[in-house]
Amino acid sequence: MTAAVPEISATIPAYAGIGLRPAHYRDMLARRPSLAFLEVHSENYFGAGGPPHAYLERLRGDYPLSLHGVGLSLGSTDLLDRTYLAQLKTLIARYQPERVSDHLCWTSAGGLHTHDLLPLPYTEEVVRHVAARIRQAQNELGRRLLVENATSYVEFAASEMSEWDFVRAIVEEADCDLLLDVNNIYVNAINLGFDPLTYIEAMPAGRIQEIHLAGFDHDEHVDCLVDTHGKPVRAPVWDLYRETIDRIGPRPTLIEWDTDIPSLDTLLEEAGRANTILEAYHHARRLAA
Amino acid sequence: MLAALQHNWVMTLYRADRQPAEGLRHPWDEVRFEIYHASLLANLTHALADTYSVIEKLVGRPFFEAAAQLYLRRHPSRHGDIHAFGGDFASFLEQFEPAQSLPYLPDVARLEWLTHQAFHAADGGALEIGALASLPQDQLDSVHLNMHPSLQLMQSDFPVHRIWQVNQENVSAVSIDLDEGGVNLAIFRDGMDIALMPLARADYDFLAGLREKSLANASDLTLLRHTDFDPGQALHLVFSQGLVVSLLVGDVLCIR
Repeated sequence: MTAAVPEISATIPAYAGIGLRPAHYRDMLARRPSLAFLEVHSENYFGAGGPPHAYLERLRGDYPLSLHGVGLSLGSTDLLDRTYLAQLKTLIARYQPERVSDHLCWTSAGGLHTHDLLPLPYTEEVVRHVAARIRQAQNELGRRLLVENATSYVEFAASEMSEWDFVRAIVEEADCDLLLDVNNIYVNAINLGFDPLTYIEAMPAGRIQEIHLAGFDHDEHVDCLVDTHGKPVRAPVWDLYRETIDRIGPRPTLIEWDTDIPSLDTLLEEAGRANTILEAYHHARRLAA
Repeated sequence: MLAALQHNWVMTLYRADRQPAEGLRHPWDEVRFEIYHASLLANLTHALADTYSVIEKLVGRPFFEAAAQLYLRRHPSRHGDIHAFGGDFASFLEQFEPAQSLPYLPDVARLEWLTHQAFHAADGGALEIGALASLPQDQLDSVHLNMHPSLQLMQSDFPVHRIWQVNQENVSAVSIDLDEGGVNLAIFRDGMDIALMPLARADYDFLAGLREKSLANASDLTLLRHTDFDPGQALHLVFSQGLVVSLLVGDVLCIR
């Protein structure tokens, strides 16, 4: 990793990282592979102690860390969950992560949680609601959040703007950062019928502090791409990622793989592919200079 | 508008009839809504199977999925942390008609929930028994032992510890005689692993007493109920298993 000049963040190099999973704890400790950062699901470390913390504490010193949540429910109309916020705050204090993120979605209503990243209607009212919630969460946590664009398998009758206008309006109004999930954009583009590059070009590049890449599946029953995080990154998503990097420059990039978790080597190979694309950008710039 | 829509979605997702929710734009959106039904079922069943892996092994995947489907509709998740989901599964199984022929199942579920708590509980360094021996007699009379945060106690009429152990990974199946009787069990974390320690009834009562009372009181009460109780031996057991993390003498905390 030479000539790695991070474009935005001084704390995470603009190269690839992977999600840390319990199945790889021992392997990671023994091998300590070269990675720009590790990402964990925040909720997996909400417990006070035990093996999850024992492993994460040993690895944390060697890697920048990104805490990625799936339960903050930023788009919900319930009050922000105080217990959840307190647990996340404790975790942030304990590990001092370089990134803290969650999703532009909702997961709960009426006190019931679905543990699924559910879509929002794209309206001015919802923009204001979600932006206010993000600001409140940032205030409570005392730090900036990255919010990630989500998938949607359906369209709402009430939507009155495009998804990219919706996402941009929220992050601008909330004054937060953006975690750009390139796979989610591709999945939505195919399922809902739009040009993914239009979406990417509409994103505020200066706010994009991390990129996610993952694999999708095709659900034949409903003829839909589904964001399962259980496969290698697909060829068209790699292409879209390359186009994204060409436009916005290199960013810390996570290989997300949450179901049917493969060997650590497979994850490192995927990370290597992302690094090749990031290196090519640096190389082209050096040639141009 | 958004609140009503979200309530409708959650209620629809937690209902068994798998209908589409409100507010969708196209007819095909109603078909695709099925993805969200499938996702909720898969996520919550997976979480339950993670916590109750022994139950799943005992009853098999189809039975477990059927039980999980009914459970999640009766006891929906109420926390953003999915690890908090499933705490009522043991009492659910007690009432679950198809499980009535397996009377030990609720206790195995209870044990798995306790091991789940023990796994994530706070850490605590073990204190040596010497720390106790160095106290003067008047302090020995009032000292409280603070137990390891992972320690859980459970009693069952069935040998649930044996059922649990033979259903862990890398253990080949052996048969268990359900008539071998019940167990008094201490559950705690031993390094990275979960330890299950069967206890004599007197030692079990002693440990239960230590969680609330001073050492002297717990010891006296146990002796009243079990004339053959040996406090010295029981203390040695408790310390040697690393179950004491600190001593409380008056207002003073003594740690390692």
